[in-house]
Amino acid sequence: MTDQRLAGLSHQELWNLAHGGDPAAATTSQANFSRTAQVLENIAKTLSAPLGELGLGWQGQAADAARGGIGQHAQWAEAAAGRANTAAGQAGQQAAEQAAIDVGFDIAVMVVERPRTQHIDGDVEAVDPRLARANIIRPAPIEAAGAKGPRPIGVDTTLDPVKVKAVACGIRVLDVYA
Amino acid sequence: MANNASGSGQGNLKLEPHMIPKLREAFQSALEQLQPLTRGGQDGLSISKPAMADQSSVEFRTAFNKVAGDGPESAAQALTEYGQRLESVLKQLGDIQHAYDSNEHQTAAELSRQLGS
Repeated sequence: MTDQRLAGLSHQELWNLAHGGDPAAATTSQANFSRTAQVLENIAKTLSAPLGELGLGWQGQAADAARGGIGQHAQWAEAAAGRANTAAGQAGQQAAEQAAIDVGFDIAVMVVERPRTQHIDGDVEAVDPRLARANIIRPAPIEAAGAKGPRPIGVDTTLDPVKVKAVACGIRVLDVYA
Repeated sequence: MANNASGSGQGNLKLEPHMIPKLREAFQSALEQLQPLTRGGQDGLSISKPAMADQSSVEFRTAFNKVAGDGPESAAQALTEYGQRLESVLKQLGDIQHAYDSNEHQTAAELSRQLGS
């Protein structure tokens, strides 16, 4: 992957990048790979079922060759099911990353649009309930009531991958001022 | 998906006669389960559009689709080839069944001829 330099892009440019794709396409691929994995697991079981009977009353080189010859198809299906599950996870991760960044933008927009009169004073209930519900915002202590100048909104980055994503995308939520 | 179930060596496959119908049934079922997946071709597994417009997402989509559906080594192609191998095994099982049946018929004919003589 190319090392992307997002610093210096405007919020609009970042928004356009985040919303210029189609995460549903990755979700569709994820669902199809998951279904493929499920079908392949069933095929492996279907093909393995008679293999047990091959050993009943039949031993020797020919029996082993038969089991090996037939069994490889069940083994392939089983291994392929595992790889399909991995691919499904990768596709899902792409869609999830976009969703996370989307939430990051929502946070930034909510913070920016929050009325100046709605100050955070250390009380969690004072935070926008949508952010509190998402367990994203934790108010930071305000240095002094009525202090002038930019004040950082308290956003706890330690627990929330969404915030980390937002920062990775260049959204400086921590530096959005009330 | 690796394409490593070559099916080679099955030309010498020897089976007990009573196992052939069970194996044919299993392989026929496997093929029927697989067919809806292979009918979809590459479109179902590939990511049609990147999740975002940034370069990483675009590159991820390109790399993912090479493995998923676009290339000769792709999962879609591997599934297609797997289906062909299952069909090949089914045909082979049919040939073995036919050989047994034919052999039985010939044996019966020979016994009948001997008994009648």
